[in-house]
Amino acid sequence: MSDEDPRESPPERATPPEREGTDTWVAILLASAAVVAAALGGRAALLSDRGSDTYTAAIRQHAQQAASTVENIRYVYDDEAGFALRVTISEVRAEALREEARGARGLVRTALLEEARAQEQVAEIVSGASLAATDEYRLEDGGYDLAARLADVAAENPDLLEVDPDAPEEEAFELARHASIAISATVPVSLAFMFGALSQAYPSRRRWFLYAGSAFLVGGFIFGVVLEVVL
Amino acid sequence: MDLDVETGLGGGEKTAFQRWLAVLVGVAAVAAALIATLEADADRREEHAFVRGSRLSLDIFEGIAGAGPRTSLQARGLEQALSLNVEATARVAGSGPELFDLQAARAAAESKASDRLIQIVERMTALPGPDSGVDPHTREILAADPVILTEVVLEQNAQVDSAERFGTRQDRAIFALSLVAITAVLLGLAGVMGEGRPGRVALIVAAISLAAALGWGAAALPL
Repeated sequence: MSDEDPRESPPERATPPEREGTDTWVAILLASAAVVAAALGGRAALLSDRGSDTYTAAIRQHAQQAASTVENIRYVYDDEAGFALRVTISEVRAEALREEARGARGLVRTALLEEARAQEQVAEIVSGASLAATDEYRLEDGGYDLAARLADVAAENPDLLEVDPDAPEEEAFELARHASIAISATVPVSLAFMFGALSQAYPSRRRWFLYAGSAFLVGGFIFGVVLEVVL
Repeated sequence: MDLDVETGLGGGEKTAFQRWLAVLVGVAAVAAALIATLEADADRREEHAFVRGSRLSLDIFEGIAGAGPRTSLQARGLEQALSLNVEATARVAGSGPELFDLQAARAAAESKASDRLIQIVERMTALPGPDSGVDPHTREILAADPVILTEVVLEQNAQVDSAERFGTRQDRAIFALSLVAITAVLLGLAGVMGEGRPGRVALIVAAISLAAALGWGAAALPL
């Protein structure tokens, strides 16, 4: 080694024409690798972003569906069904008392009929408080069809009935998988970059490194294209 | 020795410094791609587990809140139906001779009403069938079973644990990527500084940084 400061620029020499050509190819290889890697990374970022948005949509839809379902059930079985049950009890009691009154006489018969009438009045008054306790939902053998009432309440918001949070979740899963594969396609491209760098370090094997780098670059590019076409 | 790095060694052989610089640049590029792949995969798995965990939490909420009203209505209805019979019987037992006939007649009526009401309450609060008009999701929620919900809770916890594990993996991968970025900066610095002492120091630190990045990335894998 000389005693000169190695940071000083060596005297400029003419580059042999053969090296000049391969230098150009190395530059093209490195630049192409950078461009393909950036394209794959950008595509992966876009897909990943779409996947995240779609995952969020799945949670949002599920929350809407859950809130709607629970509220419908609570409204029908807590708010309306209590009145329907009260009406049913009074109707059944009134019917049983009237039936019993048929075989009774005197004051007993009168008392049974009065009580039956009172129960009928209770049923009439309470039935006005609940849409579930209307003739529309009356069952043949007594009581009210709460399931039909629940179906009607749910049908008031048909958009929510069509919500299917599984669909966006599956779509988001596929988008995220697609993004992950797109990122993995940068590995062969990075190998192309590495061989490009090695071709600078080992000029005597430059040609072979260039071939290997080009092969990996083309492989990564094809992988990226296939990814877009197939997935 | 006066060495021309372009043409001095076999038509353009490089110095050790330049070779190391080029090799480290290449390895850093591959390391960045590998760690980015690891990070993306961890991010994907974490997000999926997080979403599954969140949705299972909603399932648990729906199951608990949605199944309760029907069963409590059923319990309330059966209790009221049975109490008719019990109260009527008690009134008969407690009545004097002057009201015995009336109370006995009422008890007979209430007993019949009670039996009929039990059937009606069971019918009114039965789980809706496929032909009931109720949508499948609501039917599923109405039929939520506490035993199944316990399994859902376990699954939800497992998903949250999984999200945490992949989150840690992602954090490590991001740190490893940061180290690769530092490596790239140091390699650029070494290239600018050249073969002197500052350049060699930058190159050595870059190599250490790259090794740490690879080690940190590898440490994320067992998670």
